[in-house]
Amino acid sequence: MTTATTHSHGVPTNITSGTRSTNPADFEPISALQEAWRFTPVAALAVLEQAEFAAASVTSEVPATVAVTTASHAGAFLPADRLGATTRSRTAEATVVDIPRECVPDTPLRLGIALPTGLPSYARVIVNAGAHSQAQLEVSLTGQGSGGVIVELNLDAGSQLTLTQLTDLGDESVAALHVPAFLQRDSVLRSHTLTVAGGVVRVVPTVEYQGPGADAELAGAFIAGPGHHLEHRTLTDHAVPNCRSHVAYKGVLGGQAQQPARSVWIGDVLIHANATGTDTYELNRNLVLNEFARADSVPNLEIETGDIAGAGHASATGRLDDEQVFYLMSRGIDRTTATSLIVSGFFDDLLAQVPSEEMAARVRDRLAEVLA
Amino acid sequence: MSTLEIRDLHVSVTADGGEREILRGVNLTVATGEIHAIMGPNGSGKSTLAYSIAGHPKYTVTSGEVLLDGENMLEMSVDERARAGLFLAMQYPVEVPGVSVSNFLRTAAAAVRGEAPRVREWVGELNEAMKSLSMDSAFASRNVNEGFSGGEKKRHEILQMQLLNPKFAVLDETDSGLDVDALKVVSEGVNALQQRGNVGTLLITHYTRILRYVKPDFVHVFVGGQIVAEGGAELAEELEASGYERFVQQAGAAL
Repeated sequence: MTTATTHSHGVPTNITSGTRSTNPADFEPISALQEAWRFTPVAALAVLEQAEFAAASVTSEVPATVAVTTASHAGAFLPADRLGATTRSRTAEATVVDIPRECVPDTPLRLGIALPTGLPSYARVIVNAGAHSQAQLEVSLTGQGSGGVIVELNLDAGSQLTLTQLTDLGDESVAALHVPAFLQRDSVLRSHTLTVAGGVVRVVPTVEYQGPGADAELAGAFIAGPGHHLEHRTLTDHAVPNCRSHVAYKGVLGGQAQQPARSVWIGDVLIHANATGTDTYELNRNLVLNEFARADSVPNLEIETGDIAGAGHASATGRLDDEQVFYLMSRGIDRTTATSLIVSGFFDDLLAQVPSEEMAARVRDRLAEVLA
Repeated sequence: MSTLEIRDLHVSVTADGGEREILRGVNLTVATGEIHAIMGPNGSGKSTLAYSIAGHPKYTVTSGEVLLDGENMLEMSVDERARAGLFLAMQYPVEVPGVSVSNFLRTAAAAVRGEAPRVREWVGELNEAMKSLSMDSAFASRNVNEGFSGGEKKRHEILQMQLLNPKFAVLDETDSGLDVDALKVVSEGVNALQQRGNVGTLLITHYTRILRYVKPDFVHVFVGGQIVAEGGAELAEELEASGYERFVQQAGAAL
C-alpha cells in the first residue's frame, strides 16, 4: 500500500449556512457519505451516541482573581455537527471560568478533563475572558475512556487569551472535542492544540469573528501512533472586517503495518462579503514515517470579497527524507537518533512557541515513544 | 598507522529499471599521513566511489572489498563506518530544518567519540575550530545547512571533519563552487588536519586548482569507473596542461 495524500480544494463545507442546533436529532445520522464525516471511521463513533452516559470530571487550578463556578449556562456555542450537538445536549451544566475585566493573572489557569473508562462521559467548559484581560489557559484532556468535550472561549474586546490544549487519550478512546472561540473587537487568541494520543479523536477548533481587528493564531501539533485516527477540522469564519487568522498544523504519523496511523486535517476558511481587509493563511505539513500511514490534508477557502489583505494556504505530506538520515548517519549518529533529530526538528518551530513547558515536554516524550 | 584498502571494487546503481555498473574494479590503498588526489572528468564515477565507501543505500556493491585496518567496511552500517573512523565531506550537503548546527555537531561528536564531550570544553573546542575556518560564532545556532551559501556549506563540512577527527577523510569535490578566498580557507582546514599526522585523505576533484593549496602525495586519474593512470604531483600538472582527453581516449580504446 502506498501513502495516500490528498490536496484537493474540496467541496465548500458551507458550515455557516448549514444546520446549527443544540439538538442532535436536528442533524442527519452520521454517515461516511456526508462531507463532514467522509474521512472519519464513523462506526467507531457509535459509542458517543449510546443512550447511557456520565459526566466527565473537570478539575481546575486558577489564581484567586479568577472565578470558577458550575452553572446551567447556555453559552454561545451553537453546534454545526451532530457530535457537537450530542455533547452540548448532554452538558446542561458547564464549568464557567470568569477572567475579570483588565485582569492579568500571574499564573496560568489550568483545567483538567478526564474521560474514565465505562460509560462515555461529557463535559463543557466556558471561559469568559473579560475586556482587556490577558491570561494563559492550559486544558488537558486525558483518560482511557470515551466522550465529548466542549471548551468555549469568549474573548471580550481587547482581551488576549493564550490556550494550550493537550489531548492525551487511550488507544481505545473515542473522543469529540469542540473548541469554539468568539472574538470581539481587537481581541487576540493564541491557541496551541497538541494531540498526542487517542484511538479516534476528532478536534474541531472554530473561530467566529464578532468585532473588527481581532486576531487568531491556531497552531497545532499531532502525533498519530499505532492504530490512532487523529482528525482536526479548523474553521475560521471571517464575518467582520480587518481580522486576521493564521492556522499552522504539523503532524507526525508512526504506526505499523498491522496498526497503521491515520490523520486528517481540514482547514476551512470563510471570508464573507463584508469581511474586507481580512488577512488569512493556513498551513498543514505532515511527516509519515512508514508506507502504512495515511495523512489527508484539505484546505478549503471560500472567499466572497476581493477586497482582502491576503489569503493563502500550503499543504504538504512527505516521507522522512532518506538523504537527511544518510547525512546524519554519515557523521556517526545511529538511525534512531538521526530520525529523532529530524522529526523533532520538524516540530521545533511549533513547540518552541508552546507556553506550557510541561505540555511541550509531553509532546517530545510522545514523539520519542512513537519513534522507538 | 592505519590503512584504507579498496580492492577490486565494483558498484552498480539501479536506474531506469536496469542495473548499471559504475565502478569497474577500483584498487587503491591510502595510508595515514598521505593525501591522494582522485581526478577525473564528469561522469567517471568519482562521487560513486566516495558514496560507496560511506555506504549510501543508492549504490550496490556487487564485488570487492573496502578494508579499514583489515576490517570490512562494507559489512558496516553508515553510522558504524563513521564511528570506525571514516568521514565523507559531501559535494552537496543536505539541509536539515529545525536541527541546529551546535546540536548536530555535539550529537555527532558524542557518537564518534563514544561519550558526550563536556560542555565547557566542547564550547571552547567548537569556537576555536570555527574561528580557524573564519566562521562567525552565530553559525552554530543556525539550522544544519539551511540557507547556507555554497562556501558556508563546505566550511561546515571541514568543521565537522576537524571535530570528528577521522582516520580517513574522503573529500568529494569540496573545492567545486568555491571562490578563491573560500578555497584557501577550506584548503587550510584540510592541511591543518593533515598536519596532526593521524589522517589519510582522499581528495576527489575535477579541477587542479585546489592542488595548489593542498599538495597531494599521489594523483590517480579516474576514467570509466577505474583508475587508469597513477603518479605524483607532476601528473596533476600534466592534466592542468592537456586535460583528460588522452586518458579518456586510452580508456575508450581499452574498453
